[in-house]
Amino acid sequence: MSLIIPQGFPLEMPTRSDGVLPFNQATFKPLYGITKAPNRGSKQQVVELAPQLWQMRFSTPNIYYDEAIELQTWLEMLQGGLRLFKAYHPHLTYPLNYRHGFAGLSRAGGGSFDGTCSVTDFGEALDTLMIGGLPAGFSLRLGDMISMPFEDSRILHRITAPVVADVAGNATLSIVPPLPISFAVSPEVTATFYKPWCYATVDADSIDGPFQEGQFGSVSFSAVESF
Amino acid sequence: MRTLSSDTIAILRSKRFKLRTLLNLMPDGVDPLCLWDDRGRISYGGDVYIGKPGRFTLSPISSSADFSIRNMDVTLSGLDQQAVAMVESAEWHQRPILRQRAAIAVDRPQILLVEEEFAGFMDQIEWGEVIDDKTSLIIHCESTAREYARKGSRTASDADQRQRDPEDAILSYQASAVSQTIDWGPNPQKPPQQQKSWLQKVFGL
Repeated sequence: MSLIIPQGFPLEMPTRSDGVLPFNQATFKPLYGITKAPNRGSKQQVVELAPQLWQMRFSTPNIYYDEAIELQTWLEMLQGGLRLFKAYHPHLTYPLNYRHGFAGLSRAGGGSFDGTCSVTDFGEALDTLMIGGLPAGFSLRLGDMISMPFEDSRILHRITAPVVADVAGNATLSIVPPLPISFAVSPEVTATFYKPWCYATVDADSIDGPFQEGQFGSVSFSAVESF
Repeated sequence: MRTLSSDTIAILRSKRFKLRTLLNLMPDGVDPLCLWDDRGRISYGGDVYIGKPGRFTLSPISSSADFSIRNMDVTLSGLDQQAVAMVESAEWHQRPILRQRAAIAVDRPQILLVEEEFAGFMDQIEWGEVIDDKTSLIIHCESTAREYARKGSRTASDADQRQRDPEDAILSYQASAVSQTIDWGPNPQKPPQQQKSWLQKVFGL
């Protein structure tokens, strides 16, 4: 099966002809910039030295060499990390309650719903997000992800509590990691649940796969979020 | 004396907070270049710090008590030609640089306190190799301690201190403190002679 390899940087992830990512396994886990130290009072000191990053790992099912070489081409386009790509979790292309898409959903205020919403406010502790423009009763589960632009980059968050939008299409999300300190909702911020993505840098040393003719195996690589 | 709010003290005592580095470069001819190692922008002390995590690195520095010069290198990476032109148009030599460490609350966007880590002057600038139209800049800095090691004619003696203030006798015992007997009390008397023990009498001690 031939992959669709996009052009232009930052690079979009490769997809099959049906638009599905060729990866059947992926992990998005936080990479913390934290130092810890126990002290005399048995109270452990935990200090964050750098903002949290998403650390990712992608793997395909076993594939033959001719398909693996297409993925290798895409990875080589990233030039060992000099070029960025737009990373999203292959199992979270849509929220977990809407795996087959948003067809038939309409916003509470009118118009079809495409997975985007407007960010109207955020909590003082930077761990809650108020959004609007959703369909009434739109439900999100623990583990869904949302992304939005932030200055000239992108931020990606995971939802930590189930939530249902009210009749007006508004909802308050609990998220991790917290929003950046200087986050603002003005100018208007549009977040998305469809392919929630962030910029990422591939770890060239982690690339592995059946790249020799005749081989059969899994292609895998790791990456780290990049601002 | 620094005054910290009760909220700040409580947060610091909780031992959970964030640490970020604030870097303030003050060349002549352009506005100060303020960077910090988080995302976004924050305002502190009248300056707006631009978030450039991963775009600048600072060499380790050590503290000293002997007035010796401490050096620090600042490396700015990923500079495009526009940034290069801005750097070339400014005057950097012997201009101030300030490195500070900020403690930030975990559960709200509040700077708890800011500590100065390094204050000095930018001495030399070194350009890195241009790769894919981007280059790096290394700024070699030296601390202000370089001004404290100069020796002059002053000495810690009574005569020198009297030149400043004839009535100031604070150093009048400086040279002979070890051997000078200072009597205390209103009526100084010699202590009574203690009786000798029988051993002292036998051996004539």
